[in-house]
Amino acid sequence: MNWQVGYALKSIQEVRVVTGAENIRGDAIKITAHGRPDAVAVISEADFIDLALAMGYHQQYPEMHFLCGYRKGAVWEGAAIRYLEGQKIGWGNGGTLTSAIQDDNVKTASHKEFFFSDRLIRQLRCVTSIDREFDRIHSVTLADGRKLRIGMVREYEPTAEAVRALWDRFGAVDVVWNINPNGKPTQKAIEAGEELGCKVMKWDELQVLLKGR
Amino acid sequence: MFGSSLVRVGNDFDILVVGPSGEPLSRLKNEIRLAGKNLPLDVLYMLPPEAEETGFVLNEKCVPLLELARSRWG
Repeated sequence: MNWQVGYALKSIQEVRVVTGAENIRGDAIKITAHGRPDAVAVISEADFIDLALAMGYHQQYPEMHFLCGYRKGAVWEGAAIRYLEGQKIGWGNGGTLTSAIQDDNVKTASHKEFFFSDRLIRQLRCVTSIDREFDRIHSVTLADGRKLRIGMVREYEPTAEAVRALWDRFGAVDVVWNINPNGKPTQKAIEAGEELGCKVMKWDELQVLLKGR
Repeated sequence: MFGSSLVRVGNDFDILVVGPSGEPLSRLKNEIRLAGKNLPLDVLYMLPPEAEETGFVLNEKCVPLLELARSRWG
């Protein structure tokens, strides 16, 4: 059994409503839970899940209800997200899968780390279009014509390293948005942003920036 | 180490690394990438002033890996 499938099975079996979880073949597992239809999840060990990989999994496991990027550092390409959502396949990390089983929304769940912040931006009337380039990178066009590239950082405590790593990996952004509601960017993180040429902020500040007031 | 995997089966193993940035950090990141090839590691990197500013070690009840290894394998 692949290592990530083993870990996933162990943590899924701990979920209160789950009555069984087994490896059916390759990276695919079947989950049975009280009062819920059986669910098939594919547990990927990939660091990067792009469109080709997502489509490949779907072809290999047509019965799949959920694609799980088990590595904490896994990054999802926007095109892969759009494909999966279009096919009514849930996507996200291990925590997203276990929550989705409990909430009985395996087929529609999306990465729980980014779910609320993605929705927050989409709800703003001043945002006219959004290109979700990657799970955590949104290029937004605003009603007044401005364009902003926003990168989300979800660490408990956004650090200078988290800011630099985001910039190195995804290129220049205008804003590094600390999406952890309990987090607070450290002084060094704010300074690292200033050195690179972006602002590190939380939602209250970002909201003001987007609304242009 | 910190987080839920200290007390029960979690989705991953949370590890905090406090140290300088630059070359030593790049080297360490490469080593951790190798060590985590078949492990769900979630590593948080902090500069020493950041660790102090956030009080993370105390607040999250971090346990030194060495101490943990000693307690598990004597």
